[in-house]
Amino acid sequence: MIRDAAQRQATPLGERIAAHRILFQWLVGVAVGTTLIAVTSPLFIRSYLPRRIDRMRGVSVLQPGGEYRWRSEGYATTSIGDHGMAGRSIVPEKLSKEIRVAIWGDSQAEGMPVADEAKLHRQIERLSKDSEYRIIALPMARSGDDLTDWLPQFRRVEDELEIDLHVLLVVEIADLFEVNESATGLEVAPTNPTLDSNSHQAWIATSIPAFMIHASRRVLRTPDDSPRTLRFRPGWGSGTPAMDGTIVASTPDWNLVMRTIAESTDRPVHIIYAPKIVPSHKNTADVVFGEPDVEAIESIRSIAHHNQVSLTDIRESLRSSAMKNRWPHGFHNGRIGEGHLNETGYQIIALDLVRAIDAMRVHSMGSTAR
Amino acid sequence: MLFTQPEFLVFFLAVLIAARSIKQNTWRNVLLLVASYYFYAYWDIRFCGLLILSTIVDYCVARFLEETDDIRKRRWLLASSVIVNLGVLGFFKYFNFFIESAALIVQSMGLSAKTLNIILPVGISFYTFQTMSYSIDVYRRKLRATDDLLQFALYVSFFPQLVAGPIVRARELLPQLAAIPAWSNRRLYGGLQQMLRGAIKKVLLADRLGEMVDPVFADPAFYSSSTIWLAVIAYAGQIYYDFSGYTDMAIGGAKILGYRFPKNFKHPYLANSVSEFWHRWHITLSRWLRDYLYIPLGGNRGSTLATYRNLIITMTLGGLWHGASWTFVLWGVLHGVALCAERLIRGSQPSPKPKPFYSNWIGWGVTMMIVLIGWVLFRSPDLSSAISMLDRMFFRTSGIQWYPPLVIAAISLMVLEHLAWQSRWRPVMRLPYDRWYSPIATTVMIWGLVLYSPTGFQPFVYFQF
Repeated sequence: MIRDAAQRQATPLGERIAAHRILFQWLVGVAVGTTLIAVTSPLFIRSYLPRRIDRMRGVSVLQPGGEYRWRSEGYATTSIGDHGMAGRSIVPEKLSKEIRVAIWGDSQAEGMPVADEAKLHRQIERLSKDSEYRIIALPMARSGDDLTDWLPQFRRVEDELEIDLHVLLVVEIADLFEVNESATGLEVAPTNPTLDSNSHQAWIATSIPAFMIHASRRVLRTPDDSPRTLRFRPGWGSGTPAMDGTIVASTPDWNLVMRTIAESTDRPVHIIYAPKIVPSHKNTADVVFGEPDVEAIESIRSIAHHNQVSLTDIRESLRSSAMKNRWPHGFHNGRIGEGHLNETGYQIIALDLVRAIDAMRVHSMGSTAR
Repeated sequence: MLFTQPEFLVFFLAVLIAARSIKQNTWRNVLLLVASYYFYAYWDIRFCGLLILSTIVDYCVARFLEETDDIRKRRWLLASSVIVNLGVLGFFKYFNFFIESAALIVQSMGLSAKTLNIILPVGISFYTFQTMSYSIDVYRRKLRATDDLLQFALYVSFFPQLVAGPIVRARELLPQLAAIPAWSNRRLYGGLQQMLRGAIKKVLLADRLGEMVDPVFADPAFYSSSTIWLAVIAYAGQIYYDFSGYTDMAIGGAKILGYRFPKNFKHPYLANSVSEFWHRWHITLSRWLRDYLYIPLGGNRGSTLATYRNLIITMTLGGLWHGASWTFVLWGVLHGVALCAERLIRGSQPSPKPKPFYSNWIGWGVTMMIVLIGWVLFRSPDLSSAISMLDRMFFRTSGIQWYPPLVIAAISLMVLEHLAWQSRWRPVMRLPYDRWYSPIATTVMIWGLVLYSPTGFQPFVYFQF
C-alpha cells in the first residue's frame, strides 16, 4: 500500500518521502483516534476501582472514597464509603430510637446502576423518617456475593456497626443454595487475599485507563467473566450456531439453610425475595417469574419461620407495578423487565421492608425480635 | 465459525499466510478447499457429506451435459440435478413445514401426522442455488462445464461465501480460480477496510438494534404503537446491517485472498419503488430468481396477466426460500403484489411526463411502508404474532412505551449513513489509505468494536435461511 502510493512518485527520493509521509500519517492517526476514544470513553464505559481488604468485614471491598461509574443499563456514579458501602459515605453515630439494618445481597442490592439518592438504603431511610423508629440502612452488598459470603460477615459487622437486623435481598433463589455448617465460622478469610491496595489488580485499576482495562477484559474474558478459550475442533450435532447455558441446580435442604442463617447471628434476619420478572405469554399482557412457584416459596417461608427467620415474597408487588407500566427491573436503555433493580424496584422493596420492620417490632440492638 | 468470532481471525490469518506462501495454483486451491471444508465442519462435520454430494452431482451432470447434444438426455440430466438439489433442500428445510401444513388438513379427517427432528444445515439454501445455477448455465450453453473437479469443489465450498452468500455464479468465480491472483497491497487494504466495515455494521449496529427487536417481537401485546413502530424500524436496520455486514466481510475476505465477489447490497432503503428495492436488496438472490425462475416462467414476454402471475410466483417462492413458514410465504406474496401494483400504475400512465419533485418522496414513503410491513411478516415467529404486531402498529396505541436511547442512536446512525452515501461524502466513507482521516476513523472503529459491542453471542440472521 505504501509502496503503491510511492509508485506514483517519479524518483526514488520522492518514493521514500511519500512512503514516510503515509507512515507518519498513520502513526499520528492511530494516536489521535486512541485519544478520541480515551476522551469520550467515560461517557460509555464503566470505571475500574481498586479493591482493598476491609479489616472489619474480612473481605475485599471497593476502595472507600472512590467513585464508581456504571455505564450499562442505567447510567450512574456511586460514591464508595466506609467498609466499601456503595452510596453511603460514612456510618453515623447511633442515636436512640434508631434501628440499624445491614443490607446484604449481590449486585441487585448493591444498586450501582442507580444514583446514590435512589439506592435502596436511601429509600428505606426516607420512608422511615415518620416512623417511631428511624431506620439507618447500611449497604453491605457486593456484586457476585451469595449466602456463603454474607453469613461469615454477620458477627464481624454487627457489634462494630451496632446492627439490629440483617436483611438479605435475594433475587435469585440459587444465592441461598450453597451453604454448609462451616459457613457460620467466625474467622473469615478474605475472598482473595491478593486484592489489597498494593496488589497487582489495584495497580492496574489505578494506573491504566478504564477503556484499556475494559478492552483487554473483553478480549481475554467471556461475558460471564470466565477466561476466553478458543475452540478449533470441528463441531458435531449443531446445524445452526446456538448457545444455551441453562444450568439446573438441585434444590437444597431448606431446613439446613435456614438453620445455618439463624445460627450465624444473634440478631434477627429478614429475607426479601424479589426475583426478576419478564414480560411473557404471547398476546396476553402478563408478567411471569422464572423462579420457584408460589407453593415452593410458601414452603420455604414456613421453614424459615420455623427457624426464626422471616421471609417476605414481594413478587405480587413487583408484578402489580409492572402491570401498571412501572417496571421494577431493567432500564430505558436496557431490556424492560430484565437486568438490575431500578429506582422503582427499590421503592417497592423499601416500602415492604419498612412495613416488615414495623410488624416485627425490631428494637434497637435487636432485643425483641427473636 | 462466525466471521465475528476470534477463532475466525486466527483461521483467516493462517489461511492467508499459507495461501500467500504457495506458488502453485493447484496447491493453493487444495489449501483453500481444505480450509473451506474445515470452516464448514466447524459447525457440524456431518453436513460436509451434503456439500460433497451437491458438488459431485453437479460436476458430473455438467460434464455429461457438455458431452451430449441429445435434447431429451440433456433435459433428464438437468432434471436429475434439480431433483437432487431441491430434494436435499426440501428434506432439510421444508419437510416439517409441509408435514405440519398437511397435518392441519388430515387432522380434520381424524388422522395424525408426525414431524421429524431435522437440523437445518448451515448455508444449504445458498450452495444448492449455486450448484443448480451452474448446471442450468451449462444446460443453456452459457457456460462450458469445467473438467477440473478441484476448482469446481472450491467454487461450491469457498468459505467466504459458503454459508450466507453472496450467491456467486460459476462464470464469475471459476475463471478466477484458474490462476493465482496477483498480490496487491491496495487490495489487501481495501479488503481489510471492507471486513472492518462489515464487522461494525454487524456488531455495533445490527446487534444493538436486535436488543430491542427480540423482546418486542416476542411479546408485541405489551407494547404501545409507537414502541412497535420503533421496533419494526429497528428490525429493518438490524436485518440490513446484519446481512450487508456479513456480505461486506465475505467480499472483503475474498478480496484479501485475491478474489472478486459481486455486490449484494446498494443501500436498499433509498429505493423509491419496490422494484428498485429488489435491485438494491440481496442483489445476487434477486438476479438468481430473475434468471432461473422469472424468465423461464415467461417473464414479461406474455400477457399482462401472465406477467403478474410470474411476478407473484417468483416472489412467493423467493419468500419460501427464506424459510419454511407461512409468514415468509406471505412476505413474498406481499412483495409480488406490490410489484404487480407498481407495474399496473406505471403502465396506466399515458406518457412519460417529467415527474413532480414530490413524486420521489411519495414513492419512497410508499415503498418503505410496504417494506416495513413486509419485515413484520418476515420477523414474526408466526402468523398470529404478525397480526398482533400489525394490529398494534395501526389500531391500538396503549402499552409500554419503550424508547431505548442506544437503539435510537443506532437508527440515527443508519439514517446518517444513508444520507452520507448519497452525498459527496461517499468517497470519504471508503477511507482511502492516503487520506488524513482514514487512520483516525480506522482506529476509532477498531476500538469501538472491542469496547462497545453488545455482550453475548449473536449469530447472523441469514444463517437460519
